[in-house]
Amino acid sequence: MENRFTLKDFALFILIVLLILLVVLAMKQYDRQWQDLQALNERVKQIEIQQTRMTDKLSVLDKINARLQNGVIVNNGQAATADNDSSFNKALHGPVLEAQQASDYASGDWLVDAFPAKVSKITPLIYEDYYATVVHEYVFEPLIRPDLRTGEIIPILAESWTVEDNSEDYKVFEDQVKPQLLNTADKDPSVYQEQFKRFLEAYGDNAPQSGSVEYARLRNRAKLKWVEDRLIEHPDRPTPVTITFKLRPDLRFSDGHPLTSEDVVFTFDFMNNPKIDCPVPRQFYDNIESATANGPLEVTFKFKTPHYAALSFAGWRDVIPKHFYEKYVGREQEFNENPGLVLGSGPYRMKSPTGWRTGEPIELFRNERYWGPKPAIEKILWKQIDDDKTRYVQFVNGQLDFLIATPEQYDTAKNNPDVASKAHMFNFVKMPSGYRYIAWNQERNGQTLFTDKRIRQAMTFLTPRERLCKEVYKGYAVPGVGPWLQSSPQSDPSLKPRPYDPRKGLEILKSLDWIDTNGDGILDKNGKPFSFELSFPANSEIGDKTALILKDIYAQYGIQMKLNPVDWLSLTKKVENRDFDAVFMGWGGGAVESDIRQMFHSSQIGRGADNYMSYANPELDRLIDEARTTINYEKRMKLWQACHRLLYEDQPYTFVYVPQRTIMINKRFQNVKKLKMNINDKWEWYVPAALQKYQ
Amino acid sequence: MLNYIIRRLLLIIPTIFGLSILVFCVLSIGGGVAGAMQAQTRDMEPEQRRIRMNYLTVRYGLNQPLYIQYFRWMNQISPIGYEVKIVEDKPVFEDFGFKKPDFGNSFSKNIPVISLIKDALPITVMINLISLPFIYFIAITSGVYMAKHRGNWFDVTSGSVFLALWSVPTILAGVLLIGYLASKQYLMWFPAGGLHDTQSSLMSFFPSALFVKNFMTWAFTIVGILVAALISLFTFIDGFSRRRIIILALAGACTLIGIIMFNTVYDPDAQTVLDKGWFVDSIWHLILPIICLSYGSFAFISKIMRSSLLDALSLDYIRTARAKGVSPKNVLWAHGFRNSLIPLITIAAFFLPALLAGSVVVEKIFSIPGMGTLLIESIYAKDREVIMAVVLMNGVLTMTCILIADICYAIADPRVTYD
Repeated sequence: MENRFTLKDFALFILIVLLILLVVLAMKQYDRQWQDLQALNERVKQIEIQQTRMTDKLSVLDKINARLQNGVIVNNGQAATADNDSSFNKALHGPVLEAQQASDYASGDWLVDAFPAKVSKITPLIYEDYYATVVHEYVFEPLIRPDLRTGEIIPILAESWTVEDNSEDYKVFEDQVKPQLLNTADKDPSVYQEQFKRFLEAYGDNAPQSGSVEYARLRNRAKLKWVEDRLIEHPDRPTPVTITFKLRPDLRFSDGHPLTSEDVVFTFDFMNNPKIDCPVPRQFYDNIESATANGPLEVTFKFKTPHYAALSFAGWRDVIPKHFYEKYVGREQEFNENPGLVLGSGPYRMKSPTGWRTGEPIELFRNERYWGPKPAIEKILWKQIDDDKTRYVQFVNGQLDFLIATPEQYDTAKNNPDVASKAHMFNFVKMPSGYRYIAWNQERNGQTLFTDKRIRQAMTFLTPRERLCKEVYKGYAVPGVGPWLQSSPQSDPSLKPRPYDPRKGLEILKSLDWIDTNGDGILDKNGKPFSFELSFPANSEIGDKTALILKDIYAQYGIQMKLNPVDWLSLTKKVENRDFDAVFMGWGGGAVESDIRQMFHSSQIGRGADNYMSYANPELDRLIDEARTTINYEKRMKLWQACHRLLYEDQPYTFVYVPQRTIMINKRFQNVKKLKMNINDKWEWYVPAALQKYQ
Repeated sequence: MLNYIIRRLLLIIPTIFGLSILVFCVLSIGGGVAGAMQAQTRDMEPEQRRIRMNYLTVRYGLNQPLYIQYFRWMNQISPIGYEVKIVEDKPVFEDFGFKKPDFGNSFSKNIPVISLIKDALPITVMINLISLPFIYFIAITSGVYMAKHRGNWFDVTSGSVFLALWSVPTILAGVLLIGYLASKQYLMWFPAGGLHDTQSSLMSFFPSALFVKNFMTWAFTIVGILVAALISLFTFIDGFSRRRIIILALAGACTLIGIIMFNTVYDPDAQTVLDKGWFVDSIWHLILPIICLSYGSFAFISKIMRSSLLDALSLDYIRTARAKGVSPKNVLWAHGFRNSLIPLITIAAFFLPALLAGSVVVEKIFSIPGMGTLLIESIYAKDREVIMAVVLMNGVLTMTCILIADICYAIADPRVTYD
C-alpha cells in the first residue's frame, strides 16, 4: 500500500474543512453586513423624504413671514390654501394629484423597460440615439410642451408667456430690401461665389459639372442663401418675433439648487458654444438670435426671421442647470467624451449625475426634491434586450413591464387570454407619428410617366391601402391622408383618404389614352406599355410584403410594376441621383407641428435636398413660405390646411399608411390611460401596495 | 524555428492589408453615410436629418474619393502619421510624426471605438473562458471513452446523439431553450436573457444562508436520484460490480439526506429573489448561453477525438507496445492519446479567435452585450469604423493563432520541424 493515509494527509484534510467553514462564516458575516447596509439605505431615503417635506414647509413659512412683514392678515385660511395650490402646475400635476386621491393609491415599486439597442450616451446635447431622449423626458423639463390630453401647449417650468409678433413689419422690410439684394447678386455674381464654393465642397468629388441643370440649381441656391444672410445682417432689420417667458418662482433642480432664468439662458449659450459636439441642434436652432434674462424669473428670446415654430423653438427645449454644466466651459473635450452627465429638474434623477457609463443599465430614481407632487413609482429601469422575441418572452414572464410589441406579437397576445388578461393593451396612432409613402418620380432622364397629376391620382385609387394595413400590419395601421395625421390641426379635416376604387382609377387612365390596344394584358399608349419600377429597401419585411401585394394588384389592372429591392445605402444614393420611377420609403414623425418644405418645396429639388420627385407647384411654394413665416396660430393652420388640399390634389406621394403603436403594459400599474397624443406620463401611474413587486 | 516564426509574422502584414482593403471596399459599396443614419434618425424631422447627414459627411470625409478615405483610415490606425484635430466640426490635419494609433469614432454612437470594445470584450472573453474548458473536458473524456469501448452501446448511442446535436442550429436551440426553459408558459427555470437580474444591484455578493440550505436540499435529492438511476441503467446493461453497489449506496444516502432536509431546514416561502446573491445570479444567467455555445462544439470535437484516437490505436507501434507488456492505461494515454491530438490543435487554433470575436447568434438571442452583438449592431448601422476595428482585431488574432497552432504541432509531434 503506497497511498497510506498519513498524518500529513490528515492535516491537509483538517485545513480544507477549516477553509470551507471559514468561507461559510464569511458568507454569513457578509450577509449581515449587507442587511445592515440595506436598512441604512432605507433610513437615508426616509430622511431624504422628510427633509424635502421640511424644506417645503420652510418655504411656506418664509412666505408667511414675508406677508407678515408686509402687514397682510394671515389668519385667512382661504389665502393659505390658494398659496399652497400655486406650488403645483395644474396642467402638468393635476392628474398626479387626482391619482393620489384613489383609494388604493400607494407609493413604491419599479418600472422595468427595455431598449432594443445599446445606448451610448445620455448626456444632453451630444447624445446620439433616440433612446437618450426617452430618458431625458423624466430627468429634464422644458419651459413649455404640448399637452398629451389636448395637443395644446401648456406651461411646465414657465408660468406664462407673451409672444410679440412683429412679422408684418419684418415683411415690409423684407419686401423693400430683398429685391435690392437680389439685384446686387444678379449684377455681380462674385458676391455669392464664396457661398457657392462652400456648397460645391460639400459634394466633394460628386460635384455637378458646370453647365448642367444641377449646377445652375446649386448656383441659385447659393444666391438665395447669400441674400438670406445679408438680410439677417442688415442693420435696419426689425426683430420679427420676441417671446418672453415668466418662470415659476418655486423651481429647483434635483440637487436642490434653484432654477432661474440664468439656467434657461445658459442652455442656449452652451448649445451655441462651437466646441460642444452638437452640430444638429446648433444649426436647427440657428434662427434664435438671442436669449436674455431680465431678472431671475423672466427670459426673452429674439428671433432672426419670423418662424412658424418660434414658440416651441424657444420653449420646448430641456433646461439644463448652469451651476452643473458651467464647469465644462473651457473643458469642452471632457464634456464631449462623457456619456452620462445628467442633472435636471424633472420628477426623476440619475443615481449620480456624473456616474453613468456606457453599457450599464440605466436606472432613474424618484427625485425626492422635485418641486411638484412626487410620482408614485420609485425607480424606472431600462435593460438592453436586442432580440424582439426575448423582449416578448420577458414581458410575458413579468420581467419587463413595458413593451412596444411588433404587430405580430401584439396580435398573438391579444388572442391569448393568458397574456392579454395580465396586460394593459393599447393600439393607437401616436402623435406625432411617421408615415410610409410611395414617391412618384416626375423627372427621370426625360421620362414622364408620373408627371401628370391625374396619373398619380389614378395610382392612389388603384392602391388598396386598407388591405395593405390589414395584411402587412395585421390591421395595426391606418391609411395615410397627407403629410400630417388626420387628427392633426394641420390637416384639413374634410379630406378623407382616397378609397380603393379601381373603376375610377382605370377611368382616369382611359381618359388619358392608356388602353390595352394589343391585348397583352398591359395598358399602353403610343406603343409604350404602362410599366415602371418600384424601388424599396431590401431585407425589410414591410417593404417586401407591400411591394408584392402591390405588384399583384397593379397587374390585375394592366399595370406592370417591376420590383427592385435595394439595400439602404444604394437606395439613398439612387434617390439622391433621381434614378428611380417610384420609391417606397418612410419619414419619422418628429415635431408636433411639422414642416413640409424639405420634401415638397420646389427650392428643395436638387442633390442634397429631399424633394427627389422634382415636384413643383408654385402655389404650394407660396403657401409653404407664407405658413413658415406666420406666427399667428389660427392663420397658420389655415395655410397648412391649404397646403394639405394642394398635396391631396397633386399626390406627389401616395401616402400609404401610418403604423400604429402597439403597446403592452403590465396590469399591476393603475391609472394607465390612452390620451389624445400618447399614453399618459409614467409619473401619473401607481401600483397598489398589494401588487407591488420590487422593494 | 525562429527563422520560420519571423517569416510567418512578416507574412501577416500583407494579409491584413489585403483584408482591410477588401472589407473597406465592401463597406463602401453604395457609399455615403446613409447607413449610419438609420438608427439615429428615428423620430427626427427631415430637416434635422439632413443637417445631421451633412455634418457626418464632412466630419468623416465621406464625400472624398474612396482611396483618400482609406488612407485617412490607415493614417488613423498607424502609429506614424498626421495628427488629426476636429475644429468646428471639420477635421484638420497637423504635423507628420509619431502619434497615438486610434480606431476612430463610431459613426452611429459618436464615442471612441476603443471604449466600445473595452465594454464588450471582457464579457465575451469571460463567457468563452467558461465554456472552452467545459467543451474540451466533455469532448475529450467522451471521445476517449468512445474510442476505448468502440462499438459498445455507449459508443453507438452517443455517436448518434452527438451527430444530432451537431446538426441542430444554435439559433433554433436558443429560441427553443428560451421558449421552454425560460418562459412562464412552460418552465421558468432560467432567466430569458441578459447577464444579471433586474434587482441585481440590491443583491449581496454571496448567496444567503437560506438560499444555500434550500439549494443543498434540492441538490442532494436530485443528484442522489439521478446517480441511482444512471447506475441502475448501467447495471441493467452490463451487470453488477462491487464499485457500482458502493456508489448506489452512496446515492441512496444522498437522497435520504435530501429528504430529511426537506422536512427540517427547507423553507421555500421565506426565500426572495435577493437571497440568491449576485454571484449565483450571474451563474444562473450564464447557464443557457453556455449550453448553446458549447453543445455543437463538444459534439463535433468529441467525434474528431474518437476517430483520431481510433486511427492512432490501430497503428503498428501500439501493437508493439501492447506486445512488450505496457499497461493498457499507458498505451491509451501515453502512446495513443498524445498522437491523436494534432487535429484538436488545429481546431483550437480557430477557437481562440472566436473566443474574442464572440458568437453573434448566441449573444443576440440572449441579449449579452459582447463582441458579437457589437459587430452585428454596427453591421446593421453600417458603422464602418467599428466594423473595421473588429475585423482588424480578428484578422490579426486568427493569423497569430494559426501560427501558434503550427508551433504546437512541433511540440506535440516530434517528427514535425520547420527548419
